[in-house]
Amino acid sequence: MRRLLLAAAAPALGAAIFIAASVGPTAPGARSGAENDAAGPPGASITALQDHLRRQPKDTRSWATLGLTYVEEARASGDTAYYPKAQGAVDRALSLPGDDDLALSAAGALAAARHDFAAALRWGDRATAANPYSAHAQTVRTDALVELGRYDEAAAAARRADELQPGLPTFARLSYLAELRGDTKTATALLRRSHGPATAPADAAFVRFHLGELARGRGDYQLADREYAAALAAAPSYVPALAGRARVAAAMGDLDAAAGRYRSVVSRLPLPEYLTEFGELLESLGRDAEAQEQYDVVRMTVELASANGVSADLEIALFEADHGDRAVALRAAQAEWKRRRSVDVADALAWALHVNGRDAEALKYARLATSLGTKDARLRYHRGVIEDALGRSADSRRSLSAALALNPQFSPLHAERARAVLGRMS
Amino acid sequence: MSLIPGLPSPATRNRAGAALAVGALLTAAGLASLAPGGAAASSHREAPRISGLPQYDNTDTYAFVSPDKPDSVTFVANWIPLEEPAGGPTFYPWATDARYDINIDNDGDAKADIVYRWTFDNSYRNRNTFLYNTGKVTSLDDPDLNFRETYKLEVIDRDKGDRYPLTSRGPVAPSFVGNASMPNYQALRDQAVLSVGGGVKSFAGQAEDSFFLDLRVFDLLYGGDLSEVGNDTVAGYNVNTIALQVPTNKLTDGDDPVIGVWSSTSKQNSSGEWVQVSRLGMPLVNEVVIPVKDKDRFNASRPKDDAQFLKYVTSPEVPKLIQAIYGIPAPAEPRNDLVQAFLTGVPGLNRPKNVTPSEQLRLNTSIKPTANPKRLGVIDGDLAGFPNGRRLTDDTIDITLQVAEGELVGSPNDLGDGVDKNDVAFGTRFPYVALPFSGSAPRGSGGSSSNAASLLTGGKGQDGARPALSSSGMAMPIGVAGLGLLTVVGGAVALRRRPETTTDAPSAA
Amino acid sequence: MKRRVIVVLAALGGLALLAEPAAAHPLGNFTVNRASQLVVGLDGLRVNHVQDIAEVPTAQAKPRINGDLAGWARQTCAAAASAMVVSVAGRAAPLEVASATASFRPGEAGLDVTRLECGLAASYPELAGEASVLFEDRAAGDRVGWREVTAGGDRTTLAASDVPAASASRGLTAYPPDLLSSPPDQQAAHLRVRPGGPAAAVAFGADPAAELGPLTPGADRLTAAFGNLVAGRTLTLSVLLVAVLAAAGLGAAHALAPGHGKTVMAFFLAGRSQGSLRAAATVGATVTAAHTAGVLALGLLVTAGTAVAPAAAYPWLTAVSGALIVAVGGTLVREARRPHGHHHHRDAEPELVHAAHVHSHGHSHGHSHGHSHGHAHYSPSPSRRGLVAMGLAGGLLPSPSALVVFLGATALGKAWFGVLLVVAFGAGMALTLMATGLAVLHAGRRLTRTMRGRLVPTWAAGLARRLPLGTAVVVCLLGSFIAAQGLSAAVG
Repeated sequence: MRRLLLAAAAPALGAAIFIAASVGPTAPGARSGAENDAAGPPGASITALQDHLRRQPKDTRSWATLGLTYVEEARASGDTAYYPKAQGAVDRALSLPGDDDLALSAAGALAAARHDFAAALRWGDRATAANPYSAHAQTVRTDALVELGRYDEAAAAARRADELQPGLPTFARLSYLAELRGDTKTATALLRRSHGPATAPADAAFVRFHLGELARGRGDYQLADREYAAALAAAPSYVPALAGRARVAAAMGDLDAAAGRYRSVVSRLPLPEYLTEFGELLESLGRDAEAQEQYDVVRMTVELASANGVSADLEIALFEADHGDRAVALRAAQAEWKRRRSVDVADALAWALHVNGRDAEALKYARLATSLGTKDARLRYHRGVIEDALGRSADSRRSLSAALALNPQFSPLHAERARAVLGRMS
Repeated sequence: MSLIPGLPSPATRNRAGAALAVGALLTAAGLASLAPGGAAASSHREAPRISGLPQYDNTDTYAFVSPDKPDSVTFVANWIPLEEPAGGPTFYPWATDARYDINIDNDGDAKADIVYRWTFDNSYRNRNTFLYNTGKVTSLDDPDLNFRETYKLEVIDRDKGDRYPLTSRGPVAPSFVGNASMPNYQALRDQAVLSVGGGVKSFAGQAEDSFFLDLRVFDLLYGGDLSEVGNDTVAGYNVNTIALQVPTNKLTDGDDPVIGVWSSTSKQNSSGEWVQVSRLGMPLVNEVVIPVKDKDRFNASRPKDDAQFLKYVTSPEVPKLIQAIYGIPAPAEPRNDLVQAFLTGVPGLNRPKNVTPSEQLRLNTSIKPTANPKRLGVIDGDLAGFPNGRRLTDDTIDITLQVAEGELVGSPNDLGDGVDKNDVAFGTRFPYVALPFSGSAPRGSGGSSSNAASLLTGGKGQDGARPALSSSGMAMPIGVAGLGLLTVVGGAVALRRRPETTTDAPSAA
Repeated sequence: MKRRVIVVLAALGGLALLAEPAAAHPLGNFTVNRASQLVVGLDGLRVNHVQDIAEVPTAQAKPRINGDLAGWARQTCAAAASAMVVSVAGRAAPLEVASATASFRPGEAGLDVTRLECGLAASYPELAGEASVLFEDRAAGDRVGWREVTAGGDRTTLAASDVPAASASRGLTAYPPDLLSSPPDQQAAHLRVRPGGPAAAVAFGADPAAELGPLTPGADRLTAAFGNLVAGRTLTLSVLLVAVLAAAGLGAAHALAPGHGKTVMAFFLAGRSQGSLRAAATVGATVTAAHTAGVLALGLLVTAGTAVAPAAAYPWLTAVSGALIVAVGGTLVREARRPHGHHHHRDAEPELVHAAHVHSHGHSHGHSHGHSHGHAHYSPSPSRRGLVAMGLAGGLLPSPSALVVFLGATALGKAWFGVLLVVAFGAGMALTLMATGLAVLHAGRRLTRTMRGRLVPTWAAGLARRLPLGTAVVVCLLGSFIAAQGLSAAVG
């Protein structure tokens, strides 16, 4: 009996050892970087952190900082290679003794990156419990609560973060909450205040890009283009700003330039939203075969995301409703609605119901989607089309006109459809 | 790294188990897979998380009776640690949305009575370029200095409810870009020293980092025991420094010569309110006394609420770590000696007449500066040194470690980091901090001020009597991998031994 | 009971042979990783440029590829070459495409990834003295991914270089899973070269170790370490000894990784009746010989510069190896079903049976053992054939590590040293295989010895009786799986 147990233990140990050895960190490197020890607050350079952790692998805080830094790198550069590294660093930090709030926050940030916002909120709550003065924990909670559709709580968390460590991260989040409420003036002002000459280039690019989006959202395409250009001046490879320039080129009617820019965007960072927009632009130009190529890649991207444990139901719903399988779109939207009830999920569900002919239900969700007052032309367009399908002409005219007044060229494909519906009514 | 880990093989006990381990390894090896791929970037809003904190992060605060003007007190406070001298293109500007404060409590009630407040502004002379300088800079007004910073200094007298500006456009000494750009940096430094009247002098600008320590000492906190210290890990770096010299009679209240000092940084939040984000009085409090989970709380708190941190002082962590690692018994708790050192001041030395315990740097302005300062300050008999105020030359790491380990309560020891003095000599007149390193000089590998010593003996500065302890192995991953192979090969080899109990003939090994 | 556990575990281990390592693109699905290896010669330089294209960019490129992979490879290599700027001694040296190949490999979620390999070359007047070489890949920043530049000399020496000599990813085939390193972002190289130095180790356009793929991921690191040990050292006796020992150790460690027939070996030896040590030695010697021959053959082909794609040979070799194993298993099956006369000498099994029948053989035990030795053991030639076949099967697949070792030694100009190292490598492998087999064998023996004298339930005895057949069948199954895998890779 004892032998048997021992015999069973040995293989388990052997397996564990082998796996641990093959995925554990490598041997400590040379000491040359040791003197430049900058272990410390977030913002420390990645190389200094890596050097320090080679010397001191038991430093929980630095592992957590490294994990958070890797998540930032992934976000800023679009290189998803950093996510497994971030996960590894966070796992290390959590496995070491002590309940480090930074490690818990980093775990929350990773969960959010995988679109598991409920888990992100749980991590954020744990981080808050470990350190009630942690601004990072509050930013994680803010992000999770926004995506879950719990906007009042999100605002409270953002304000709390702002009271603890005011700065670009808190201003940006408060700005987004203002934007969701439809208060674009405050949103713009906050973004403007958040950056200055000493802002890191990637952060400056982020801010300028969102200023550009705000401008584009209210139809000021010239200003938007200037903001996107400023973002690219700060960080020439910042893909969202490239996409922004593609969008305004399309909005201003220069469709060939837009197509060229979109092509460059999707070759760098083929996210579903960029591929879909590019496809729609091509469709509006009558280049259907090329559009279909882009749509095929969307499906692949979404499949890969799912294979990597990222929840992609919202992307599936949005894409399939317009360009694919309606039933799949509805299933995905319903699944996502069960998980979280944010305005974009409401909008996706409304549209999925609409393309499946269930307009009465769709209207309920479309109203929810516009209930915050967000100044987003697409939300109003969706609602207008649904109202039209239900025969509510007055409401439809109001919604569609509002959409086009906000952003006359919000999409090469759909702005035209909005105009067509309006035209039919008068 | 060993070439073939684990091949020299001790035999395992359970030989059959070893054989099974082979099978297990095969299983495990076959099933070991690469880590799953990363999450795709998302369509939801992802905002930056990590904000640039160094500009708001106090690193050191000093307060001492000016050696060349004993009727005045000098305050020095540093921000933005570990500035690489070649730190272009933006170098290290002061934050323009922050308040940099030196707070003085002169009646012991743990509230600031006098606050000196710096706020900064900057601009580019030539808006068409973002270069720091466009040519040789010979003076602070030189048009070639493109990026110009200035400061407003005001003093707030809380007792009287008064505030008035001392200067509204004080010049800031720029970052030392390089020798070609700034051939005579001393001149720039001299121009940045401002007399604002009433015997008050002010300075703001880049300086050489006046702190000196071996940062590896903090590895103690991670359970690492150190056999080697002695390298000044912050040698060769610059910091941003604020310095202030004030006649003593403007600072003290009544006949109590003791003042308490701390520096703080505040930032404006989105509603325009000022939020304190950093605080520093006694050195190393946040690194060594306050545990990780309460650092943010400490940074946001005020001295008057410091009773909440009392337990960290009366029952400190560092002596327990030293006991766990080196076996040296920690002094008995509660540590009232530390309460005196950190929270109230030592009676007869720097304790105010009426004191509310709070974490401040306390200076007895009536103790004259000495001509021969000792780096170990008070515990070496030099009453003008730390913890009575803090001079640039005081070796606060060694003093703090030795006091924590019981130097003042009958447990003398020689703890230290083996770094006894700064890599560069300090000046003899205000602002006393050394000129910053030039951006064009390659950064040296860091001076060490003594032979490599161990943590236990580094405070002596010479070969200590206690033997150095070997550092714990770092080769955990290699060991783990080796162990895996060991198990297998050892089992196989062990099985070759002739079994003892058999009598049958088959041609076994 | 324990035997059963062994059998089960060994079977699982066998399944592990079949488990394909997860084919996830190691750096994410959007990336295009690129590596440029500069080889600076006396009158010309080569850039071995590799791109590892993840699932999504591959899908995006497929419409343009349109079935003509070779043509697409040429186009893409030409585009890559035109985006690179090379200057030697101050003069521009434009790159031409000398070779361009591309291939699809399976990635995640049933999608393909692409590997593009470009051989680019530029020529310049022969270097007279020290010269500076600048290389810049202007297109490197276009895509997110690993960006690597390495540089080495071919009959020149690099006096200064701001990029490493060896590829951290082994030519984009093995990305280190290190949590503490970021993907490199090298887009340029600044070198100073001097004429005179060793020839480049690898023939132009082919990195055979990379070609052969990461069969032994763990050994790659060891091989690299070994390479560092040996490279550039003058060959004293001590270095020689160390290197030989290290090669043997490397071989031993290498054989621990999946895919060398250890499981099959274990089963095979377990089913043997006697002479296990001799059998194991025979197998071992055969493994060494087969492996050495294979490595040398491949190595000679590569250094002769023939455009052999070793990667193509592998699946066939695997298939052959599997077929051999099936054949051996077949003989085992045949012999296991022979009528049992005096079957005392099947090592593990007879002990159990013996125990059951102890009363009838007790006093004549020693005598009849000696006697029935002659009867019950296999005739020499088939068993020897079986052993040789097993040895061949185990040694047929030349290890990339051994190949690298051989080529490295050849580069030092001492081919005999290379041969010596390869032989040592093979011997190390053989040792591991023998040890594994013997380990299992002795475990079984120990078990039966402890069981001797106890009454065993009939079901256990029955199982034990069937065990030789069982192991033979498993050997056949394993062999056929391996053969099938090889065949499918060869034709698929």
